[in-house]
Amino acid sequence: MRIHRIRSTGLLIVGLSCFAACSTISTYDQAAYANVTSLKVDTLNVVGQATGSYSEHTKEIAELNTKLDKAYEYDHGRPLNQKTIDLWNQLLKENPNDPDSGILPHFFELWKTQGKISSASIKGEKARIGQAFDKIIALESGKNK
Amino acid sequence: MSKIDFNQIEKDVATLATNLFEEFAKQGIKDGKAFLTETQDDLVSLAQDRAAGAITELEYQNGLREVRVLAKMEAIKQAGLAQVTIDKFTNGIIDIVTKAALAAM
Repeated sequence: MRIHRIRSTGLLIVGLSCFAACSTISTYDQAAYANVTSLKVDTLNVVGQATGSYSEHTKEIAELNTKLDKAYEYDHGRPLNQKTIDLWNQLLKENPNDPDSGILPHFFELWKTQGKISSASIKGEKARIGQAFDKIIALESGKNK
Repeated sequence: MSKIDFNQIEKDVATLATNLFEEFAKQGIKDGKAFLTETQDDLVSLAQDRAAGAITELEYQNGLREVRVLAKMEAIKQAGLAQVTIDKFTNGIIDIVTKAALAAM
């Protein structure tokens, strides 16, 4: 009787452990958090230079885009991380089915088209781009540790 | 040799659900209010800057597009945090049941 009960309880615990493995979203990742917080600073630094000529900042923009691509790929490789990828997509990727998406490529296109961005616009741009990063940061820091 | 206390499990699960989902709802409301305030201020500022000629039409339109994207991002973030809460709830139930089962062994 006792052996039967221990066996049943053991099976219950094994069953629950399998159920526990069915998470719906990735857990917190220190490297991903460090990537996005660091990139927020780097991105706002480049955006802050947009009152200057676009052609004089192409190197910084290209370097920033490479760093952003690396962080995106890191998050893309994590399982159960679709919501974070959806956030990165809104920030980084232009999508014909979602014409508003791609905050940063649209901003760099505008900078290129106009040659420079007015100083009054930069304040708002920095605030909005900062908020976009904050949403990725908030989701990552809110994940189970 | 005791039996699994299902009444206690039920109580513990109810407490867990109340605490987790209340906290999630409170945080969601707080985030939503903060987002609305930020958006309202931003839209007013964009309109004022455009009216004063301080920003170009393209900059104004780009600002409006970014506000729309931020609204989508807020919804995605909240959906992600809801998933986190569901996972916490699932793990909490497993913890409660496992402890009760071990106590009954």
